[in-house]
Amino acid sequence: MVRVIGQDTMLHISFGMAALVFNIVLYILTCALGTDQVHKNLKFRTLTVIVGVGNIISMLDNIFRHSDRFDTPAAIELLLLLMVFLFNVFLTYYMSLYMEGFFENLKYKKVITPINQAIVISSVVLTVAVYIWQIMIYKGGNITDNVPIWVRIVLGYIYELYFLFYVVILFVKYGKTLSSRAGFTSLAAFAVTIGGVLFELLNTFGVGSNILFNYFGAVIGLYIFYIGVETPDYQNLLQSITELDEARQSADEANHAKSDFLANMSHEIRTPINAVLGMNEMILREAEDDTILTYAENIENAGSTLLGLINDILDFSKIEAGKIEIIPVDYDISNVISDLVNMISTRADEKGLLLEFDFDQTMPRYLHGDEVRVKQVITNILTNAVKYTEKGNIYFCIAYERAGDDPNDVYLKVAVKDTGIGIKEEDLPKLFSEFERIEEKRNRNIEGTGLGMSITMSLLRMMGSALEVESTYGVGSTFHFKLKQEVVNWEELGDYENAINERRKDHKKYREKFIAPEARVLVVDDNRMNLMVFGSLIKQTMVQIDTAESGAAGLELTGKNKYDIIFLDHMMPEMDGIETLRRLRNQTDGPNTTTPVICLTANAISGARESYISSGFEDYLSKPIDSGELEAMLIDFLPEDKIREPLEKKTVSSDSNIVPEELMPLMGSSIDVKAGIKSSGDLEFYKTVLKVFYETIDDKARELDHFFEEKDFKNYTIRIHALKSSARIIGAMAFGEAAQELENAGRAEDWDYLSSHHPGFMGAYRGFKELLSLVFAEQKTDVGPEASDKVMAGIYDRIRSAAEAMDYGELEDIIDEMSGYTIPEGERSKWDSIMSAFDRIDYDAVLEVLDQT
Amino acid sequence: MSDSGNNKKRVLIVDDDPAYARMVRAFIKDIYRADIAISGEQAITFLHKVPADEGVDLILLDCEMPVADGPAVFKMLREDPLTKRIPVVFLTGNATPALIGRIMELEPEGYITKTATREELLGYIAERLL
Repeated sequence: MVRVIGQDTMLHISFGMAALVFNIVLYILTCALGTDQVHKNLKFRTLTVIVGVGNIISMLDNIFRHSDRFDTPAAIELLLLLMVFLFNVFLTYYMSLYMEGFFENLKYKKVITPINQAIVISSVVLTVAVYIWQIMIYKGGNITDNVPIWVRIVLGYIYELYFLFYVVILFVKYGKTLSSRAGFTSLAAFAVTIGGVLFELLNTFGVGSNILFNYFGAVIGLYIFYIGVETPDYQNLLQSITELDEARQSADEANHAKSDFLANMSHEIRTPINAVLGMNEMILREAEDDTILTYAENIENAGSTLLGLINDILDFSKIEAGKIEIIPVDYDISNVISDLVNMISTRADEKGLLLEFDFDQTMPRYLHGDEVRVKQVITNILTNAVKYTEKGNIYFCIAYERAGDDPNDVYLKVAVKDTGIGIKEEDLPKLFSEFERIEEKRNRNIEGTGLGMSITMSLLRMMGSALEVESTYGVGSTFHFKLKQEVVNWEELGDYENAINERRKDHKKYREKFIAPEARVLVVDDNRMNLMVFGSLIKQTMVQIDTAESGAAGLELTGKNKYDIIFLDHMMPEMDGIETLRRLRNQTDGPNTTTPVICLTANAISGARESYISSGFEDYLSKPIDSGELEAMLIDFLPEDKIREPLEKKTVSSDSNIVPEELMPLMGSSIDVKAGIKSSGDLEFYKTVLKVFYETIDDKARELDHFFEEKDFKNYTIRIHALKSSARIIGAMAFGEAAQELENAGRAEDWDYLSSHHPGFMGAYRGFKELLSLVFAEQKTDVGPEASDKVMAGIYDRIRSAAEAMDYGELEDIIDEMSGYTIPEGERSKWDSIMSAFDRIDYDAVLEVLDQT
Repeated sequence: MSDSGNNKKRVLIVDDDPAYARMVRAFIKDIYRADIAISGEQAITFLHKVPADEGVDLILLDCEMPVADGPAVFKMLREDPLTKRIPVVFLTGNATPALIGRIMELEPEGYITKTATREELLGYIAERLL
């Protein structure tokens, strides 16, 4: 056996004691200044204890086993050797535990920990076994020399190397998650400590021993740990960071909860608002008192505004709560543009702002993206521009550029420039913050939640874009963004902007008034109401109008009179427009062989124009007829010499935005009075038309039922076609749509559709009678005669049987009926009790009241 | 007797709030024969009183009601041989995903939020009653 040469026992004692003192100092330091809450610190303290104990063992080993000065018993020598091994296993094991503390979320910790523990236990078992075994086979001599080499390798190297290797693996796998300070420190300390351990182990073989490293390696390592990561300062810092992190997390959670709450509350708020608006709609439909109607209208206005605000909040809180998703679909950008232009035109016109459009003609038309959100974003920007611009213009531009990285992606470049009030530079950040509105005082008359821009920004962010703003205070602002969209089809958008500008210009041009008193036109339509509307629409032009209610009647007139233009309805019973036109052209000796003929049609589908022109018409007008289009038609086809400037500017008397009191009962009903007045030209005329509609309901309904029952598709379709036009003229748009559907079904002889929809449709049709009776029927008397005992008894009986049958409708009818009577004094309280039970819809309570007497 | 005795389809509105029930009835009464019950108990009593040939075609059932809420009433309706085939549409004031999930597990005809406008409501009912 090779002994430690030239080393005095005293040297071991002094080195060992010195190392021990260092250890104790470190232990005291960690106890006195440590931050006990941090688990790593407790582990570190244990580590210092283990290293200290290791030092003592190593010292004892060197003194009693290696030195010749003492005649140490064999049992103690073996024990010392095995203890050195065992404590090194413990040290490396505990080191690995300590290092584990540096990493969070170790993936396989649940599996590794028991394995490591089992390994440590096995080392203890093995040590005990080896000790007993060696004592039993001991036959004298140096006992430690007899210990087989494999025991030294297994206990002295394999176990230690296993834990060292485990720590290295931890570093390789999770090292990146460490801060550089913790990383470098632990790496350095680990290396030094392990160096100490390895030298210590080498020492047990008696090779390459270095007394300095032997005693101080582990201690120095621990000091490096202490200075690097275990100092109270650093631990306090870590703890502050952890606390901040937790605080942020709980703030986030609270914010999230708030958004959730807001989203839910908005819903809760919306429900009653809707009920208020719904009930109010019923008041508008059913009340007859003008004051009440005015009140109800105010409720409607305020309610709609409120609903708009709530919707904004709901949208915003949904974004906040992460409930809005971007749902990409294939879409046609021209539809988006068209919707946007229509929406913004109305608003801009109302404020007298000029709109300029600039849409890149070569832009691909079919894209893939979230159409709804794209539209919402641009709508928000455009409405904002209009909201904050008092005069001047709004410039709306959509262009595109190819995305560099993907040949099938493009960037949509949207810009909106206004000449509005602009934004001060210091206010710009406010623009994007929630709930803040710029220059609150100055803009207090502008409605809004202050969420619009925030919603816009969030939506753009969700779609991977960002809103940019340039603004000069008092001059105007430009909002623009670039949004990546996938191209579905590279077909070009085309000259969309011109088409739109043209349309808008046309609109303006024909608003200029003209008269043509010498011109004479003929209108042929089987629907008398259409004829009346037509007359009303061009009344101001003073054109002379002849009318005919059938093709045959029209032909009679064309044989006699020379007309400048003939308007022929397409769909007429017996002889339709096309047939009438053919016969007209055959009147070779008549005065109208070359007169331009315009087709009137409700089937304005695309390509209609071509098909009518190929049938011999000059052009067509779609119904309900727009007065602007009709006047444009007159200018185009009337001989120029008959068109004159109006003699004097007539003030336009009828403002279609004002709904007269007598039509108030229709507000909020399925009849859109404003649209009706607009399509019939003026108010007086609208009322006439409406009255005709009202008075003919019974006859026409009977007729329709008759054709329906006879399955006479042809006549049914023609009648329903006429009804469709009438419906659209009076502003009953939804009803008109339903008629259109029935007309289509009738033409296709789709009996299934007709039989399932006709009854409901007729119900709605006849329903108009009740609705319109509010306008046209005689006023009811306010106070009726007092109900006699007999009447009351009869009424009570009826109420009883209705309540027993739980028939709400019948009860309501009876109570309505009784409003025509005055309730006798003696019955008043009983009646009131019944009414109150009825209000609660408590049938049992109604019966109870009746039973009481 | 204005809205009985003809061939209108019949709808039963079950809602504990008489005002809301009245509103729904007012919305649909032109097209449907509409009755009202303000509790599940009342609804079931009513359904037993209605003659078989004038049976209810659709039930609009409020989710949030005291005593027996919508889902509970729904289960009662499904257990009763007389009512188990009548389609039920839930009315809900608070359409959270959790609630909708809970409702739809019961496999009703559908649900509609209380924020629905008259047109939406009518359209929805018309679709179910085709």
